[in-house]
Amino acid sequence: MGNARTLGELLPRAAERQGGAPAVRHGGATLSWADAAEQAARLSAALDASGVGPGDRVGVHVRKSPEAFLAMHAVVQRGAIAVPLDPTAAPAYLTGVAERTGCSVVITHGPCRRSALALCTGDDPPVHTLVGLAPGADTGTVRCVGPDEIAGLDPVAPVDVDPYQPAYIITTSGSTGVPKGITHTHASALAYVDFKRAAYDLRPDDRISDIAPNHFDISTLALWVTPAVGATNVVVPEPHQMLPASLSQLAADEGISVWYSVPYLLTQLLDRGQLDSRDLSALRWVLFGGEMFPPQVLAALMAHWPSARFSNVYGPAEVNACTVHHLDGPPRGEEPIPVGGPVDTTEVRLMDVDRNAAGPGAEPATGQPGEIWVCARTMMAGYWERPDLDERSIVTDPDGRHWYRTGDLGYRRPGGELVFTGRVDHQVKVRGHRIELEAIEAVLEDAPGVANAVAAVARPGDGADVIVAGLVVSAGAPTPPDTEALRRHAADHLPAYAVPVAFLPLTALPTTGSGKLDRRTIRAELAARYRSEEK
Amino acid sequence: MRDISTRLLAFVQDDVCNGSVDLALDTDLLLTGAVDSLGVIRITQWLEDETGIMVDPGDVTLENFQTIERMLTYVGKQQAEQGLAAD
Repeated sequence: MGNARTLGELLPRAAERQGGAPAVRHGGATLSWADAAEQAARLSAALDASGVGPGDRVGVHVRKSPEAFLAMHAVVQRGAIAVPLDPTAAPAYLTGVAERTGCSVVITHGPCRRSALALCTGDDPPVHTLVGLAPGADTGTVRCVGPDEIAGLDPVAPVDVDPYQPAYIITTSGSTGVPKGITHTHASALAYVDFKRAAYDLRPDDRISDIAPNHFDISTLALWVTPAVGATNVVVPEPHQMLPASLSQLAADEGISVWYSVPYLLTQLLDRGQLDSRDLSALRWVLFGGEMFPPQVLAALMAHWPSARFSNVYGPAEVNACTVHHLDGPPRGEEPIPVGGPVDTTEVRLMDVDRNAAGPGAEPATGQPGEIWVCARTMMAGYWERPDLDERSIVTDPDGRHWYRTGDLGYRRPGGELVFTGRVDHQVKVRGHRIELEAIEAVLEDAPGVANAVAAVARPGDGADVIVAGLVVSAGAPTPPDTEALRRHAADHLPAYAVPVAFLPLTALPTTGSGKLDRRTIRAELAARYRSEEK
Repeated sequence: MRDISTRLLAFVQDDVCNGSVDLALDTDLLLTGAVDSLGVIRITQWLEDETGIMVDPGDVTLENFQTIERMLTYVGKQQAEQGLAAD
């Protein structure tokens, strides 16, 4: 049968190959591949009837559920471009994303009713059609295609599109405060499928944890790789992710065999997941990535699951997957866990930071730091309608190959394995989410009454990183500032995970020798102050 | 002193959710996204501080934490089990 050429072929092929096998497990119920393919094809018909065609952008505003999986497939089957819209983000933020990407149709469902309708209100709302939401007294002039209507439609076959056309857009914060849209194609996503299949021995009898929301790039494993392999996605609803004791119970009850999440969630399982009383013997492979895993915590976790393999996965959303490191035993000492080496056809080079401007050159010596550059079939097509950002981050070498400059710093161990050490800029990771501290600062400095803002990551006693902001109020503005108004302003302009949890007044603004604001010092002070005020 | 249900509701609504949502005793806090994982940790801490019970991590489950009502039922049970006076 050969490999799929487009993402839209994945579900029909799985249905043809193994229609009766379980595709998705959720709330104790099973959806077969045949059911999944049919439901996605009906949803696809609803999009067709709403005028969606190849190249159109369609928002996907759905909580963690089988519908979230089916919605993404329905969009790519139309040759349209899926734009995940975080169900937890503020309506004004989502409206901005919908406007910038030009989503006039959004797939949603009952649990997101209020926020979905908010996308359709205002003077000139970006969205006019909601697919998956039953019409009601609150829907007014919004065109709603409800679940009953969708169930009555005839399934439609996927549209054949050029695999190098865009398939989905992942929104991430940009340093100016305007989010940027990482645009992947059918081909780049299917290259990611190849990468994962080459890196891990995934099997049809695997039960893969489906944890990350669609707007987070970790979701790509469950979205695209599971149907290609014919394994089963086990949906882990948001409530379980907040309650480690329930999360571990779900993993045991469902016999999850492949786990993929950020280290934060695994740390929560170790601390509060009652692992001593849960039978997780089905777990054979644990993939983690998105942020650094403290070696000692990982070692403690590995002691709980001695028969599972552990792999550190590295790859910015722009390339989806870059390198992987399979651990051959619990880490010893404090050296960061390596991110390993590339798989499949992916290539990685380290660039001496000082020589970046001159283009590709020699690698720094072993152990010396450099910026990580990636050349891969998994690379995005570019940032949505931001050629300026493409120009800055994608370099074409003399052979015509494109390299993505990750902005990540690393060094090579004597064996050649890469170790991630940090960023060339002020990007930080909070529970796996990329956050540009400058974006938060830019947004806050736009708020009325704020003269200067500095954002920082603080780690309170429970070990879960949070964002805090330090503020200098403008002359004449009320002191202390209205923190609730500031929080709302931040939520309207930033992804939910980037909204500061605390706003602390700054009285002094130390500067560096060159007269610039000494943000490094201020950030360290802010983090320390937040920790002490928490106690 | 206001009763525990009023105070817990006020704490979750005003402090954990920053007043951004209207909560009832039976609102599903977790599915609606009103409370995130840090919020759960703060609520657990608050229950220990304000009611004197010890919350076993194994008890922090959907069954006991999905709604404020369920938290109150859990607190009542723990107070009885741990020999604490209900307030």
